[in-house]
Amino acid sequence: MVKASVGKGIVYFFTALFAFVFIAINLAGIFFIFTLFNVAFASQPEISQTNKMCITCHEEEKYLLQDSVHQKLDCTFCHTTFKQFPHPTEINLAQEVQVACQRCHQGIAQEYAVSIHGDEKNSLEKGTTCYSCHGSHDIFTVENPEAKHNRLNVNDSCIQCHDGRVLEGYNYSFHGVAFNSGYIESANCVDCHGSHSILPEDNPASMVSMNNRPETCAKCHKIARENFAKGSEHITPFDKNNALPLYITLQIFILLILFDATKDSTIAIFDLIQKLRGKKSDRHHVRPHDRQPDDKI
Amino acid sequence: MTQKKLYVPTWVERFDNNQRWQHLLLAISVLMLIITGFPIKYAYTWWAPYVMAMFGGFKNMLTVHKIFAVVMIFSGVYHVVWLFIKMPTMKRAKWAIIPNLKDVRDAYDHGKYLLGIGQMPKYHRYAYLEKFEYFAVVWGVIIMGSSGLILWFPEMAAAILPRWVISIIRVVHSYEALVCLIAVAIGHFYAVHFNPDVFPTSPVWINGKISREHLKHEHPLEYDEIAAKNKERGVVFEPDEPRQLSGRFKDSLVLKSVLLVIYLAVFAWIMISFIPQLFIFN
Repeated sequence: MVKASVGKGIVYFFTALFAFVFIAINLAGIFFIFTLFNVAFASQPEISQTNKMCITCHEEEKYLLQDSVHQKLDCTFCHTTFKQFPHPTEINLAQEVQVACQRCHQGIAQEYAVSIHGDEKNSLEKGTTCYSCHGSHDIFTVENPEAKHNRLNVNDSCIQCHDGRVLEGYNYSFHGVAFNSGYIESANCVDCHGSHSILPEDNPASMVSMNNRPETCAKCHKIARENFAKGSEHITPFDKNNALPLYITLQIFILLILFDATKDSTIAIFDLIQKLRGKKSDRHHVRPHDRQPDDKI
Repeated sequence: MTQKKLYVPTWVERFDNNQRWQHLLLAISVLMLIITGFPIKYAYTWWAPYVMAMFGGFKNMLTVHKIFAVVMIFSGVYHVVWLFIKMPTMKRAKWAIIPNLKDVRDAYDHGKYLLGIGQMPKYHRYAYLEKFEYFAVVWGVIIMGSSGLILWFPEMAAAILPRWVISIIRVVHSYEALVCLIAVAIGHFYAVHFNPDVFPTSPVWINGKISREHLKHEHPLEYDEIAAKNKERGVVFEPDEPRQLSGRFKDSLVLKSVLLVIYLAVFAWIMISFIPQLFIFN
């Protein structure tokens, strides 16, 4: 009886094993066929005849370009003067590419042209061109976290030039602390300064001009208060020249900290020294085995 | 062998249940505020991201900070309300917390004791340091609570205050927090935790009771007052052994030496960190 049931068990086991292996092989086969189809009919970015010529030398650019939004453009669409070989040597790459961008992005180009970065002197001499902030071959849509103008990365574009006091002040501010700590809903450079139409503080049309500041703050801080404009940003308390009230407050509190730490530490240190000097503590907690029979409390 | 008559019970209640809850609320909220606040102040350090990650990111940590801020403000408001209700019915130590001229003398005598040229001054219910600490907490809760609320609701604050005042308030909030941390971690914790006489902790904040011996040593004048009152009434207490909750390490040379080294190091560290800040500007 026992033997018979064991024999049955073995039969069931092998039947189940066989069924399992059968199903597994079939599933694998189906997936394999699907994969073949996928490979066969996957959309490959077509490389134009012109670009094929370019990438014989500029292979690196091929890989940079193939994921970008401009993957279908010819190289010569932007590099207009590189149509023959050998390439001309006396060219202004910045100006050339700038013009190329404007052929499609006309609206943005108009905004940019009146901004402080689009100012002819700045854009050509200091190089505040389209690709300073957007990158050149690796341009992605704004939603892509790899894009240079995505929320995550846009500050990095700005701090290429605006480092020092501006950057320190932002990193000290609560906006900067929150943003740098991963709370990207916090205000970054472009939230307050705008993007293509950035203007300096003294320009009345600027987002950070005295008149417009309350409205700019009200983008997040719902109620626009005139008081938002009465004070400066990009300051740290260590900045004596630009933030004297903060500097004085800081000094007062550092004196308070020094007083506090000195008072508390010296009391503890000298108390411990006194306790170390005394051989036995005459203190309150008398343990049972310390107590003498006629000890008076 | 004649036992002296005892007019003070084995345990004297120092803080009642209500006061202990107030202390616990304040202690937990301040501790959590320190844990969730300092990573913001020191966001540029290596350890801050780890603490933020523990709370699930900056935003969640800030939310926890605000929750415990409400708890702290509640404990402060509750204390004031409690004072107004409790004070008229208090029989003992009604105005004992108010500083007086004796505290100045006590501070002077205590200084002499610390230098080894005098006796420990005799304190009444609250020693001058305890009074100082109490009013430091009052000041701290008012400053931290009000500045925190201003930073929490900048739009409301901007109805009255200009931007530069709010900037100052942020500096105040940030550095008063440090004052608070130092007062708690160095001053208060020495008095009630690390002091070899009470190490690892004084039991007063847990059960509210102070032992007869502890009372006689730390607050001899209060002890005398209670004894005199009970003598008048003819109340006598049996001598018995109080169960020890603390004071086991009061003669430990190791504990005292280790504490001395730690306190010297912490003191030096704070001085080295902050004295140069008085002279740095750009």
